[in-house]
Amino acid sequence: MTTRRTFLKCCAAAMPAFAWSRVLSAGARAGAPRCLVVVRLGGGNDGLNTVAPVEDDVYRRLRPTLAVAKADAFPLGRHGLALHPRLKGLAEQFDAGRLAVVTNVGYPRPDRSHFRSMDIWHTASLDPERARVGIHGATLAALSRLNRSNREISDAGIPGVALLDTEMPLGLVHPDVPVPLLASLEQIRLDEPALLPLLELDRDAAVGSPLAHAVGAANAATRLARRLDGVDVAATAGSFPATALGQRLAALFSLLRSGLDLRIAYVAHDGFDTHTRQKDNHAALLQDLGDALAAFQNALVREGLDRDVVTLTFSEFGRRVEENGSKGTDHGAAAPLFVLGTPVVGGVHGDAWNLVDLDDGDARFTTDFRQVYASLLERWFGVDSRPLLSGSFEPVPFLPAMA
Amino acid sequence: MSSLRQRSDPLAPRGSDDVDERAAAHLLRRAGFGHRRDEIRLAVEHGLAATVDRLTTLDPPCATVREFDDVLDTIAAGETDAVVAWWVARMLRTEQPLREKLALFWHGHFATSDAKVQNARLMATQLRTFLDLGSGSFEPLLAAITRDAAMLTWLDGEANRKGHPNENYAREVFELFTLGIGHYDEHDVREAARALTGFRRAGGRTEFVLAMHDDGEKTVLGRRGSLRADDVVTLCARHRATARRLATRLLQAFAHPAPPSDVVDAATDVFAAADLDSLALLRVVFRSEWFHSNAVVHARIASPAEFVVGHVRSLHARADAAACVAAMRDMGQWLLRPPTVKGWDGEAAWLNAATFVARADLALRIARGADGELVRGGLEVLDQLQGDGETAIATIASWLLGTSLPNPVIHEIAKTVAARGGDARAGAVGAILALPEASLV
Repeated sequence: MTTRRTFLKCCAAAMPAFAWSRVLSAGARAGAPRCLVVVRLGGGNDGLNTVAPVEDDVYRRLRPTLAVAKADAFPLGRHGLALHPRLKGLAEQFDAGRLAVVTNVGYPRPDRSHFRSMDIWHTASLDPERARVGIHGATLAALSRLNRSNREISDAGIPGVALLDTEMPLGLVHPDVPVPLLASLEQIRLDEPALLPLLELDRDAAVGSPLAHAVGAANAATRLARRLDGVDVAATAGSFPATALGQRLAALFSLLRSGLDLRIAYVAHDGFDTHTRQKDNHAALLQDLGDALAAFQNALVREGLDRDVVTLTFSEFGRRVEENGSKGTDHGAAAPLFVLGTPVVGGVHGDAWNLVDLDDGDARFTTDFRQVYASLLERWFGVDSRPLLSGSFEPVPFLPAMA
Repeated sequence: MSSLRQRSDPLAPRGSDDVDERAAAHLLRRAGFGHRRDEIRLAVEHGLAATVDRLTTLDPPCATVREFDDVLDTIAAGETDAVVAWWVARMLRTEQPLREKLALFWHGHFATSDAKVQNARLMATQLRTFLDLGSGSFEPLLAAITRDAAMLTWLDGEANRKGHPNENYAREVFELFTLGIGHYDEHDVREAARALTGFRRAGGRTEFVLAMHDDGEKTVLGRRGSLRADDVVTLCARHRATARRLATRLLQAFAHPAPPSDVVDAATDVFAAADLDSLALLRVVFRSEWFHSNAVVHARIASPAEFVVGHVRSLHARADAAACVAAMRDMGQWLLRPPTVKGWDGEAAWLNAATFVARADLALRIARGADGELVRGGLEVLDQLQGDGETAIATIASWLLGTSLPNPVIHEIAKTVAARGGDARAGAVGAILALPEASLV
């Protein structure tokens, strides 16, 4: 029987005590490990009002009550696009050259089911029969293989983390890479820290057994707790917006500052399913998004961590171009997304909105979402994107090609 | 039925009726919550067949109904957690825990959330249906749930009217509640939705309004006629795929998360022959050689309800039900509020860094016993303890967990207990229940 301990010995890295090198791969820049932050805008963000074609008359006609006014929005200087008036935080990042806006992102034959479309984004596959393995989990597994072959294994870290209060997103699921999930750092603080040494003990448990899984959860909790020992979590929390998203990003910032070798962090910002009375709800959600991301990015800059972190936003779909009868919008298709970070090639990447040639009422995609993943895999993590995406996709140049 | 079985039957009964403490504890944990010392002793004394008979023989549900009606009068619409607390109090004290276990199973199966229903009385009424009908045949349960007021709200049954079909319930009946994907098509969903039209909520009850019902011809699963809801229920309940799917789910919940296919085949036969009676299937499973094999013992990860109620019961302790409800919520199981219509994923998904810490914290609160706010009493069971130091810790661990711990773990528990100070036995109980092993069932 392969037990967890012998597995650890023979392979030097295994679930869940993952070992991560400080250096990623021959192709990647030497130095600190690179982290990707994925922010989910769950429910289907209205991309058309997020990055609005404020000079387009068709837009005003199809959005009689919801259209963003040109005078209030932040112009992006290309295609007549402007950021929603509540995205001041992101507009400042755009002006500083740290924000890439990728337009018309989607996939062929758009599915308008929340669950199915989210699965497509999470698996980077249009095949519903595909094994339930997530793209981010698979990326973490690929990075760990890379590290092992480079024989540059340092102390055990936590490769990924999910910061949300619902269930583990499919995107992070991979059999070899258990990812801890938490809604706040408070949740991993033991009432009695005296228990830590006991909960750090390993077991001779068969790989994949329930005991190995339970021991893995215990070890993940203790490792996070040890890392955070001495990090002033409260001060960080106080300097971020007091919203759920703001506090999750504050928790993530504390984890990054603790020196944890995080490679992928997944943060949820849900509530975008705006079928009715969209205007105020959507504005509040975007305000929260812009303020929280700006606070996070500015904190990274202050701490000198900004060269090692990029942030991607995504949503399972955009919304119908024409507003519905209840001052809201129904499920749509292609939409813009953001990539934020100091290493990012700022600006607008992609075509203008085309509100005339629609696909059953929805915007057509001109950039496949897998091109976005390809760019992050190839140019951020330095891994071959083809096996992970089951095909070859041209990277979107929001990151410079690796030397 | 079991007398007809061949030697190769994967659910053949155990050769011997004798049970040792380990087998008794395993059976008690799966058929109920935790394993008390006195129950283990009784099981060893009476043997397997008699113990399985005792555990799977439930009183008629009339007592539940009477108690329930009293409770319902005291609950306001917004107090769904009070309903959950009432239920958890039943789990904590019942002498027939399998009824509660099956109600938990059906709640996860027909997962309805108060997040949308927003009505404690409707949620309570649905819960009573699980308590009343959950230990019998499946068809009456499915018929009751199909017209259940909370379900009508949850899956838009009320919006499903003649001329304005809403397919939500019809789709989930096929996909999640009965056949499973692959045994029906989109045409069946559309036609079944028409057959299911005509229900309307009237206060806490459901009424059938003929004028809202589409009484035209439909074809569902190959059957043609002026079908109504009960026809859909019968077609689904008597379909072979339903027997297999539900038998699999019962095996997963009560025996092993990934049952071997020959066991599933055998269980499907038993279940189908017994009119989809869950108690009849569980009686065969609990007596089988397979159920008592090493592959099945401790093969599951306890749900938060099993974890909290199980350990409190194993300690002979009394607990505050509302505090237990809050603890389960921190562990990811907010009863009557499952995350989606698919219910909780369960097993490995129960445990991550955050929910593990929630379990460890609760373990320490349980162990604080008399001075804690959660649990009263419980440590008296330790009065029978022989020996001290690491010997005592090893004994307490085997009593509470039904398994023995490796020596380095026992040694570390002794160090932890010494470092924490206070009552050594209570400290040992807390440390033991905080271990990863305490989440296995």
